[in-house]
Amino acid sequence: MKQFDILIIGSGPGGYVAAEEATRLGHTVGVIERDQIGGCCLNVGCIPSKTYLQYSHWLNSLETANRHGLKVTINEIDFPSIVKRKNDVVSTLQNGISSTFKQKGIQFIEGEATFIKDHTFEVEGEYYSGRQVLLATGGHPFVPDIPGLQDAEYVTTDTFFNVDEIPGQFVTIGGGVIAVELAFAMQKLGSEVTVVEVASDILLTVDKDARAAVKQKMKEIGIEIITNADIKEVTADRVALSSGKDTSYDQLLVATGRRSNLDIPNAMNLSLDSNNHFVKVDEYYETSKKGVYAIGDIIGDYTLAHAASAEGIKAIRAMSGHKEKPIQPNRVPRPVFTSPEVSEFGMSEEAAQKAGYDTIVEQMPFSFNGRAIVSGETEGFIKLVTEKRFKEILGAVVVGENATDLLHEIMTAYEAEGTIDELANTIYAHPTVSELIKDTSNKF
Amino acid sequence: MATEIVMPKLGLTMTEGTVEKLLVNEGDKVEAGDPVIEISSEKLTSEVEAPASGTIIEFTAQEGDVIPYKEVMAYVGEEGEVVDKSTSAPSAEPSPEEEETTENNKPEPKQESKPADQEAGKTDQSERIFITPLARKMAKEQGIDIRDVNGTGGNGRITRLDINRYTPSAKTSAKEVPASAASSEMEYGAGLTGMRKTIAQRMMRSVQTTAQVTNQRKIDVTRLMEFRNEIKEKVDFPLDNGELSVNTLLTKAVVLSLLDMPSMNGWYYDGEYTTFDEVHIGMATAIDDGLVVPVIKDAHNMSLSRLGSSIKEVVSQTRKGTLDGSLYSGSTFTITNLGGADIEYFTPILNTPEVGILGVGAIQKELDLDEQGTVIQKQKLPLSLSFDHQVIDGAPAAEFLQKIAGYLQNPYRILF
Repeated sequence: MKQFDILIIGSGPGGYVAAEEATRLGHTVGVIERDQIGGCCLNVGCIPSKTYLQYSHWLNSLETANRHGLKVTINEIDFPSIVKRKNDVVSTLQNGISSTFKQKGIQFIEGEATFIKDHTFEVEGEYYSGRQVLLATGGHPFVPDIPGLQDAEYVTTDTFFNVDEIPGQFVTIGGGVIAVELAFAMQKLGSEVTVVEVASDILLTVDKDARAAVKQKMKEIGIEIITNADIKEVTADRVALSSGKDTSYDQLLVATGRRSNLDIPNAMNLSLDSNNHFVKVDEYYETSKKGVYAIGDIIGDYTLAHAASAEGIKAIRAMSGHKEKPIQPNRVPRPVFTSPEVSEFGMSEEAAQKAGYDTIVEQMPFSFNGRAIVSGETEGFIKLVTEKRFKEILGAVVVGENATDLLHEIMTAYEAEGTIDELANTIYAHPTVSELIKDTSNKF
Repeated sequence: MATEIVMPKLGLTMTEGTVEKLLVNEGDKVEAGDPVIEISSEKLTSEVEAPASGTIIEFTAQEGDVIPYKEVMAYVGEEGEVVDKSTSAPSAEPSPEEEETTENNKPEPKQESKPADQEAGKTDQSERIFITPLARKMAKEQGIDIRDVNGTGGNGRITRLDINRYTPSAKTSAKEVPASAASSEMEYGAGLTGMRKTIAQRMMRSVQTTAQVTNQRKIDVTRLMEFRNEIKEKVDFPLDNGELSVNTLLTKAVVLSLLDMPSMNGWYYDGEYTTFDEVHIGMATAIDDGLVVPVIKDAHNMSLSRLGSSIKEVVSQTRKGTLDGSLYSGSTFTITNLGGADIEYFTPILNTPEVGILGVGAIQKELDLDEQGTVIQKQKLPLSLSFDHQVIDGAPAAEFLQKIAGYLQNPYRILF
């Protein structure tokens, strides 16, 4: 049996970042992975989807250039090359993690982990044990029970990136962040996209003004959005709605949320939350079993790669006797990589009011910004949520080109407990898009 | 140009001081740091040092004079120099502008003349104070002198959390300390930073200003544990809000006992012993960088389930650092639990100005004989009650433990 100081199950952005932190603190570390190194984020999530979205972004830029005197024609969209590039990007990053593991002496164990007892697991006949264990087993796509769906050929995000030709008609069941991002990518690459959402609207987790901006753009580029859909059945080539409307598809993506991978937590008999969806952890990410910690998608909150990484680092530090405050949901950025991009953090106006703040909100459009006008990227806005007493930064929404990168600037001020005054008093270079942050701050 | 020697502030509440003794004469040469005037305020006396080297040009205050804080008492400068007093209109309280200047670390000459380090725990003015913009605004609004606050952020930076947790030491005021102890109090927490320094200062003030005695005893909780299991089985919804944790049950027993015996539910400071009808329980909580005592407000009005969820919520928010600033002070009695660390008895230090603190140990399994002489297993909870013997004697403290025992041994009484 191989014994480690810390045994990590899962090599996604939670697990591998935690592994690196653990070696930095002097622990011996083993990481078990049943699929590909890097987890969902790297293999079937953030990275491949952003690679596809980059093409739609380039196409947008070319269209803008075309409108403004730079006449270019796209002769061909060579999808196999695009897929190859996506695969190259993924393997570059996989190799990056693998070589970091080697360099730091982290043992990478490939195979399915089976719980044996206490802190011991079996992988392909070998036993591995950790003085402490970190579970970062992530999640998988949730497929709802829709008549006919089981017999239809559909893809989830797990299999979507294996598709090797651009579908003529591309339909997504689900209108959340993942579905909408891929809708943008595929529409620009040439598919006719329809988003079918059962709820009253798409992107329900997103700020309503931002949502409106994204929906506006979707309509502009020709994506059809069906909300309040009551799906009667799915057949081999169409999604039939009870309204009588049928949507035919060449490729159907089911992206209706994700569920935690709870096999190991259940085998270990760990306590779950009251809905049995997530593993219950304390403020230091320790589960109901001493010495067993859990992070990432399996503990809920924001199931985002960067949240899992941040949790992983804190869990490892707690295991090493340096207990830190847990990550606060308000400090996690929430991006949607559409065009225009959307990024938010902290509280919305409603949440701030509910929390008892004397809230004020200011908003300014990109169309007021010189640099945005120059680049022809005038879609979007910056919204800041603050309060009257100290002008504390409570939250922000950025919609537009490079929204998430712009948001980080506001978040850095927030993290350092800066206020709106610090944003307003900083001297920004001219002409830049980020000047709009200063201009919005000056309105308070 | 002559440098002023002004009346320093010896405590948070001090507005004026008395010139006790002039230690040098006009015309004497002094070195920076030489004591020149002895002053007093209530029970504290202190020597004011020359802020700069030179000659004592003039004393504007005489022995016995009562001088407002910050007003000039003397000038030190070149021999024969004429003092221009027009530039130094005294003000009793620092104006916001002056505070701002201090914070921005652009000391004016006037401030240089203020003796540094006269007040316990104050950072030397020449030292840069790191503070976040938000914390600065909060401190300003609440009138907190940021030099009194120990920063726990990176670089010793003062953060929002430090302002939230800050409780003026006026409560355990220096006034209680005999004059002779004043100089040693300035040493509390020396060489430490951040939360460690705050803890050091509070612990030292506590042991220096109280007469602490600890009574220890075990309480039979066998029935309580049976009662707890019985409820767990019979209630058909999950009790996962800490309603029935040993800590909640014990806290409830403590709250009821405090209502029975308000003498334990009090503050003694500033020569005044006050008891309260409301019970606000301080719950000592270990956090990432030390120990804090968040408060369960109005515990006397809470049902067992509300008390359980309140404790859980307050402790969790404390660990996350999201607890409301008002809940870091104002407790009337404190409970500290080391049961999780398998400790049996200890001697908790009073969370002054409170007069009692209960230390909770780990439940012990013991063998006992029942009425028939058969060996049975009992579960016993070790408790350590520290109290301030200035106002509470050993017998009433024992009676208080007896009351807690009464509730825990007859658990149905806890429900009402």
